[in-house]
Amino acid sequence: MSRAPMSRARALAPLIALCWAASAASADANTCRDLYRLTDVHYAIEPGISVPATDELPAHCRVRGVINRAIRFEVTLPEDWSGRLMFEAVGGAAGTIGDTTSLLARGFAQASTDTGHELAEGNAFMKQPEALLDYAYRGVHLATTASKRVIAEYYGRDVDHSYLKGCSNGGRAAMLEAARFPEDYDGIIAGAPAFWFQEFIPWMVAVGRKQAANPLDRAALQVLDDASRNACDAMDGLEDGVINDPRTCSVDVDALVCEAGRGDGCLTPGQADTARFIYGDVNDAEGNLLYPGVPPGAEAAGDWGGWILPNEVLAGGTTIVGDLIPEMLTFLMRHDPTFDLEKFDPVADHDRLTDPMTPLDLRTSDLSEFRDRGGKLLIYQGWNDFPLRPQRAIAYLESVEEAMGGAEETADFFRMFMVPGMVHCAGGPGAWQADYTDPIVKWREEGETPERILATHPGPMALDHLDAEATTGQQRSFTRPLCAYPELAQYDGAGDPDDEASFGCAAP
Amino acid sequence: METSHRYARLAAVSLIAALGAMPRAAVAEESQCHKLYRLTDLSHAIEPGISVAATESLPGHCRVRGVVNRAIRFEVTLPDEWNGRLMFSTVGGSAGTIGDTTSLLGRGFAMASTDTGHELEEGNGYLRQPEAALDYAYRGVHLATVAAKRVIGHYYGREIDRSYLQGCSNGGRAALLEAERFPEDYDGIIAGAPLFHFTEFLPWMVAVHNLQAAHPLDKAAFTLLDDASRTACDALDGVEDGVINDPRMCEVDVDALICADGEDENCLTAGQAETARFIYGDMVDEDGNLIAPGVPPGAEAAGDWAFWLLANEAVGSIGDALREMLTLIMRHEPGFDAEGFDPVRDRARIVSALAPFDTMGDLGEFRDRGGKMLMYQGWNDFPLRPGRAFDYVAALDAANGGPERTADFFRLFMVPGMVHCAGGPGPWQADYVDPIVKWTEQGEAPERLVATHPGEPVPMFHLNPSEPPAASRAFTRPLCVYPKLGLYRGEGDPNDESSFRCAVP
Repeated sequence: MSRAPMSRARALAPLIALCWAASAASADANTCRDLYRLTDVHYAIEPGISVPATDELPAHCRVRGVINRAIRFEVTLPEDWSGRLMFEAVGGAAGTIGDTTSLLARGFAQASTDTGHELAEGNAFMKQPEALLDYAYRGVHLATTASKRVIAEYYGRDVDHSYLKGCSNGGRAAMLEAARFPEDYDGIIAGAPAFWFQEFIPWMVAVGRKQAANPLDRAALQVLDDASRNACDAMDGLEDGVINDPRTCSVDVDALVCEAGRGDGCLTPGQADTARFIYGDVNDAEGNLLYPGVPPGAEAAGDWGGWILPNEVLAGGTTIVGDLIPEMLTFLMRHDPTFDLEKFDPVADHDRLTDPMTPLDLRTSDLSEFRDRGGKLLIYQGWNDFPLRPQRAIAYLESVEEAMGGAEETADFFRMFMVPGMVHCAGGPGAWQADYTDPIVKWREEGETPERILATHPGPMALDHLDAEATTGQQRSFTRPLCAYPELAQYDGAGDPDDEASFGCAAP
Repeated sequence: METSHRYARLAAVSLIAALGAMPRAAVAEESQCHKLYRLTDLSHAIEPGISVAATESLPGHCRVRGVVNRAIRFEVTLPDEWNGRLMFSTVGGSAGTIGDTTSLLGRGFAMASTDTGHELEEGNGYLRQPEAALDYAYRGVHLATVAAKRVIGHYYGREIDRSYLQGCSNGGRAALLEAERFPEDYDGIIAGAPLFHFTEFLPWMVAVHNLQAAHPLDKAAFTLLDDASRTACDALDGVEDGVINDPRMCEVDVDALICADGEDENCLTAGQAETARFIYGDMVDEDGNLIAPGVPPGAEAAGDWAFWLLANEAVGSIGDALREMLTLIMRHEPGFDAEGFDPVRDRARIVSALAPFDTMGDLGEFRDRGGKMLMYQGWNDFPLRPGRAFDYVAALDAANGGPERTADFFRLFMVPGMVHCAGGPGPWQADYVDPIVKWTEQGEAPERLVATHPGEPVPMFHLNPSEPPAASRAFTRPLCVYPKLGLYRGEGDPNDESSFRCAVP
């Protein structure tokens, strides 16, 4: 049975004039509550809840459901609907419902899913065959289909345009949607996508081993951060705490090793080894780049610390590189009886991971189906991302350019915006706050290709995914443009360096 | 998106290859394999397929894995050169792993298998999950079959010509249940040593383990019994070859093996003799009716008795595992006590709980669709004793109007000197695939199969690995349609199958 609250609201207008306004609201409340009627053998849909308007949020209907016993999802339906859906794919190990409120005031219906397991249960979902595949790619797809059904039922018409956003694992999930289910979304915002677990996990394991042998502590991270800034901050024409293009920056780690008798403000030889490994590229036996390193520039901003130091929020006091990621690898390899974590060689054994990582990984540069449907893809990527190092994203863009007929042809549907001084997904000394939603909507719906996006540094801000004891930014706020790669923001040499108007976009 | 016709594409590929542009075609194949994830829906999670390049042992193929209904893992392998057939492997034991999906790729078969919805490393716990128990019982193979056929049809762009199923032990049970319950799934079925009835298997094993706990047989006792069997019966078939061709003619005088006063080597205690007598003998109820047939003499030291009776690294104590299984299966029946379970008296109590797992014996629909079934059974199978298979054949004969009618679609091949599913002193290696294909597709009913003893030890999970190899020379024998057996002609090389004829003894 299809419902059309909008047309019913119009029909009720004379009645309302005659009687009392509550009728219309109550009709909508019923439509919202009755969403449970979508329940069937695959879907358990709860009665929707009508949420009245508050200072922060407009009035909307919120409904939750479960697909196929496990995939929880939530849909929010604003009274004034723009015809658009924004779905959020969740980062990390997923297991929670993501953002379903931030765009309600802009008229979007929103949705998100936990992808079929609960965060509180840790990595164990990787041992449940379907939960793993739901995390890998299927949960977002099925929750997308279900959300569209809920939206159509509620408003009595189909979604006009569907958008998807996500960062890190959410960026991975977003890109897999583009590649595997190109009909699901019209526009996709993928932040720092973890599209290659086969690269990510072994590199993290290797870092974990270095860190276990010769741990970098917060003092060491500060030494490295200072050294980066001293060496490279001024190279872009501005001493602003941001290294605009860290590809031009190299830190002399050897020079930081403590001289005899000196104990602070320097590194032990072992710490220097760990740092060199993290900055450096790892090649395979034939000399091909396997795992690119982390560019210098935000070592003390909380991202290095969040991944390599004990992490209360994300790892219950253990470390992500030394505990969570190796456990994840063990779970993923559990059908290979010869796999032994202790003997695992991140370089020589790289190919052994192909089988279990295939469901999780993008593994294609062919985005033609997404492109041919008019899909637009916007990637943003911090230059100082620790776990998901920028060179991976650059290499992927280049592989798509090769597969899709060149840089210009690719730029018609896929653009990447590098964010100077941003660490993983959010935070860092650079201008890391930006609205990617308007640009993707205008690109998709009006053909207005994004060239330059305004970004802001908000001042210091605590973020869950960053080491809580780190300095997570700079004191002042400022704006900068983000430019479509390979262009970067270039200071004009004259204007206010805290104002984005003083910067142009150009290839360095 | 509709897939293009596979053969049309192969034709196009050879044309392109002639023009010198092979890599492009290979990329297209790879992408077709990769994109199998598109079959993902509410009930299926299908992974991207992986293109596996040809090696010395395997041809180039696409391998794809998936999950049906949250739990039933399955795998399908799709050779580049497909013969239009599917071979599905059902798994033995308590399943929980994916079975063989590679052995017939070189012969052009697409292959598939499933873990039936639980993982072996988690033990018997799945029996407590209502749907997991039924998926192990019969639903997992059916749903994975439907899913595998969908994957194959999508990949090659056309339907399968013929579907085959092979499995032994629990895999033989699963194969029989497919024929009974989903007769449209398969055209030809190879069922080895099927576990027809848990209601027979569990009480018998519990009774055996009760005796084994009281009077344990050890490896020395197995060797003693093995020697006694061979001494008494090896020559009965005219060939002294370590194989008792028809153990029905063989009787071991267990009492004669009991230690005399003061003797404690190369003999049995009175208690051990009781355990051995029970195992060889028929288990009967209070009125003398047969409950479970015993184990024929002849391969007591070949590793099968040891695997099932002695605690082993792989399984631990099978007696404990079976009691736990009984407890879990009976958990909805208040007051049931697996520890105090009396195999004779309490047997009826477990029938309804085990009904989903057990064969019903009706192959009428399978027969009417033209289905063919080839069963093989080791004469020296310990856990799944041959007498059960004879009873099954007798029931089929009664239901189908006599042995000749039955033989039109069902044939049993007894394997002399074979223990459970594989191994033993007899010729236990045989290809059942060609015979079932020829029977199903060309109407050529199998009369005589060639079986081989490999002549060297083949380490096998289900045999106690410390046992010595059963025979040290390679030889061949015919396998014949029961009730016929391979009988020595009285002359000719006894290691050559041509020296044997098939006849009713």
